Amino acid sequence: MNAADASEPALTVRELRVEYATERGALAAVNGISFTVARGEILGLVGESGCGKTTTAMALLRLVQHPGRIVAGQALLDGGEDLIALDERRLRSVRWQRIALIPQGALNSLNPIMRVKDQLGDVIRTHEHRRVGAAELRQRIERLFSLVGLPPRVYRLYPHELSGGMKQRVCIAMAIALEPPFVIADEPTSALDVIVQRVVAQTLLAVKQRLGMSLLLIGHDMGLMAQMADRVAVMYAGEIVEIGQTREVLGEPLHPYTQILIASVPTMKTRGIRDSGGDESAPDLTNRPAGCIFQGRCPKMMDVCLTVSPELRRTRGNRGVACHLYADTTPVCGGTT
Amino acid sequence: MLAVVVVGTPRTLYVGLVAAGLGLVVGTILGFLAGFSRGATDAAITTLTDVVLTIPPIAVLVVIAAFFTETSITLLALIIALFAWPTAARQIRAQVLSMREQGYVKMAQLSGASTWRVMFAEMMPNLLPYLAASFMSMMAATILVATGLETLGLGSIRLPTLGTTINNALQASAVFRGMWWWWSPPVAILIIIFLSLLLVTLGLDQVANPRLRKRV
Amino acid sequence: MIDSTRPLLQINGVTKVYQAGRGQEVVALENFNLTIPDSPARIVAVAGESGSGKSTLAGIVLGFIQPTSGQIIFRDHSVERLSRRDRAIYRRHVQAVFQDPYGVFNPFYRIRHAFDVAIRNFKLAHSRGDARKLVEDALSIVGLRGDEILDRYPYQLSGGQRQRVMMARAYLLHPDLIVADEPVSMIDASLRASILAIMERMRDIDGISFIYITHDLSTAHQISDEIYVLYQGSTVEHGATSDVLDNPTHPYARALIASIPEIDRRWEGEIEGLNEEPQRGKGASGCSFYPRCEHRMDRCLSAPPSLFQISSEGEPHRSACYLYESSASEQQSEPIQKDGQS
Repeated sequence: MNAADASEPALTVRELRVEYATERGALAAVNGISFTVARGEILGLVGESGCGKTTTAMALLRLVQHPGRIVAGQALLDGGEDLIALDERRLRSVRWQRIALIPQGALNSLNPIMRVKDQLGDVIRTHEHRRVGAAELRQRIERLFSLVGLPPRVYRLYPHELSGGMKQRVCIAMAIALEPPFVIADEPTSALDVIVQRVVAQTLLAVKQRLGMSLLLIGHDMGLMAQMADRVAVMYAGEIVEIGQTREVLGEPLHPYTQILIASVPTMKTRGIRDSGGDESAPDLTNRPAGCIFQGRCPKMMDVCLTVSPELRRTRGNRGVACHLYADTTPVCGGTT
Repeated sequence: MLAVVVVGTPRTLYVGLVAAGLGLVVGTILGFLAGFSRGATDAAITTLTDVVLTIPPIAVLVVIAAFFTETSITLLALIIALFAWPTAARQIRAQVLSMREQGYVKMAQLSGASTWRVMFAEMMPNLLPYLAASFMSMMAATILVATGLETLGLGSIRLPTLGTTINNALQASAVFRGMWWWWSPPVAILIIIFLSLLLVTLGLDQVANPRLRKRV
Repeated sequence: MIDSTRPLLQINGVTKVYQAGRGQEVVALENFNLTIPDSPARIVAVAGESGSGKSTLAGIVLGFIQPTSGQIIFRDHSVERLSRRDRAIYRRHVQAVFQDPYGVFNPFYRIRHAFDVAIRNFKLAHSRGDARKLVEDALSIVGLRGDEILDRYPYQLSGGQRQRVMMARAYLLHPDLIVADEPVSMIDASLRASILAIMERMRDIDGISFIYITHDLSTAHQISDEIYVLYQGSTVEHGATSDVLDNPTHPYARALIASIPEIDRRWEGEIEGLNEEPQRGKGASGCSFYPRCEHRMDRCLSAPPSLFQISSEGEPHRSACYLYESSASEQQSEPIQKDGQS
């Protein structure tokens, strides 16, 4: 598969749908979303708990487990192979070499009884389709260490001997071990302290810069997205409600939910609470209402919102918004904003 | 044979119930005390538990049972209970240790609940499925031990139980003589008893856990 | 303007050392001091990352953990080691809100159980009617209604609702002090404001003071009046919230604030190294931040720094850093205890 076509986005997702079978019926955790990640870009997928962002990441890596399953959609890597349609054999060769994951809590992803060098060695050996000698392995691991800023002594350590930030950096090293062109980072810094979070985030940015990869960054922290993402997509109840350049979305949020999200991020300049009207009425995903999914919570609701579900439409240049307030726009095809 | 089985089965069940019940009650109280109080109390109870655990039950039970010329089933149940409680105590203690740090335990303490209330009104209800399962498995174990003892000839002589029936069968070389109708009904019933205990455990789990209750 | 009459809560020189395996010791809190005046009610933030000792502090104030040394004085009464009866009385005045809304309610009982237990043990009401009224009152403070909540099981409520019920439960006793241990960390961002607003309301209208334990300086900035910044068991900076967070002086506090990802401001440059160090054992000498500090000097190894006064006007703003040592010596006219508290 050619990787040289520079205009082709690194990832094109079309109408992805993931459903979970529950007692009360099918629950659409991801309800037909579309977006692209340009080559060398960081797209932030941001939303609160239950919005479907992690499910999206799992779907792209084909890690969705029963009772969930991918029921529709495409995910084209470099405009070529559809990740969703790959068979097991092809999937195994694509994973880690062309697309990799930096998971949320390092606790769950590092084998506690293997030394760091063995885990990294394992990844490299398994996914390289040729023999890798011990000397070369060592060299590659040392290079990875310097890329992520790990001191050499970590080489022989076990995961429990590492701090949280170091473990996360080992996870980053594992993900980039084969220099995949696309990486999904699922809340890579959520479990870390503030200062360590910054160090790890900046490490990730540096690594991305060095290796020129594209990154899908999943998170719930708008502030972090402001630091790291070039573009940002806001998810709510399994749908993308807004997407666009980070600075623009944060500076002038269009969708009412985005506005609430941003208003609820306290800055060091505000004193006192401005209750921005975040309300609890989360939608019942087994029984989606007709019309806009944000019905119950939207301060700007109109009649049409109850009956017609808004599509993601392009507005103001390169912004996508799924809201009837911005009806005078062109519809977005396949999320290519 | 039918008469024997009709009379014997409830007696066997009785032994299992009493032994398991007593063992569980004692084990639960001690397990809670050890897990919740920690410190010296815990150390004392744990040591006691470990000591009793290391004593080989069958051997000692054989000696004790042989000592009594006529072992009523209640007596049998009591002495079996002596060896049943440590396992329960250990398991309960482990559960309590992990439950102790739960938020609702702290909230109960902040609400002024006494230690006993916290243990038995707050924590124990959440252990009910676990306790029920423990009870069932203990009952299976105690019935097995009781039957084992009886098969060796140490059981009650006056009225039959399943185990003594097997014993009688063995004494009369029923196996050797191919008289399968003598020993197989008690064995079959024992198997049914064990299977039933398992199924009851699964059902109890649903009842005790509100989240699993099917909405009517 | 520290009220000079007897304070509501005074924590003096509290140290907590845990014994880890293999003879290792972990110092969770070292010589910690904190004062909350009796009035006006205030929200005092205790901010720190993991390993700072803030959760240990909560446990000690609430009577779940015994300090290794030091005193906790609640209105002239020493409360660090209480008999069961005295602890019951203490709990009438000091309640808590915890971080995890999913573990605070006993899953076996309906929500009303949490209130009933408190009402019964503290004899808050003499009749069912009175009890019901008390509970409705508490629930209305947090914007909930009894008929929606009381007969439900915990798993039927959302995280945000549970957190609000927990606050109502704390409010039920009309305590003087509520220890809020990371009350909004596990709540979605868009729902946090309402919980924090409840805390402000309780401070302003009901005169309840809070110890607000958090790792999130932004929310501390929003609602707290005073802040203690903790690092590895000691206070590194303390003062009025606006002073400390707008003009942080201690290198750790500065690094902490600079690392907060904000929407309208990019991180500047790189934070030097900041290799994460393990908790230090008892008896390590000098400033605990030394290995990670970009301003470290030889002086810093001599002894742990006291809290030196930064400014002489208004509320005291103190920083435990030798960079500020000289400005302090002129202002202290009374003999100082080890940590600089007079």
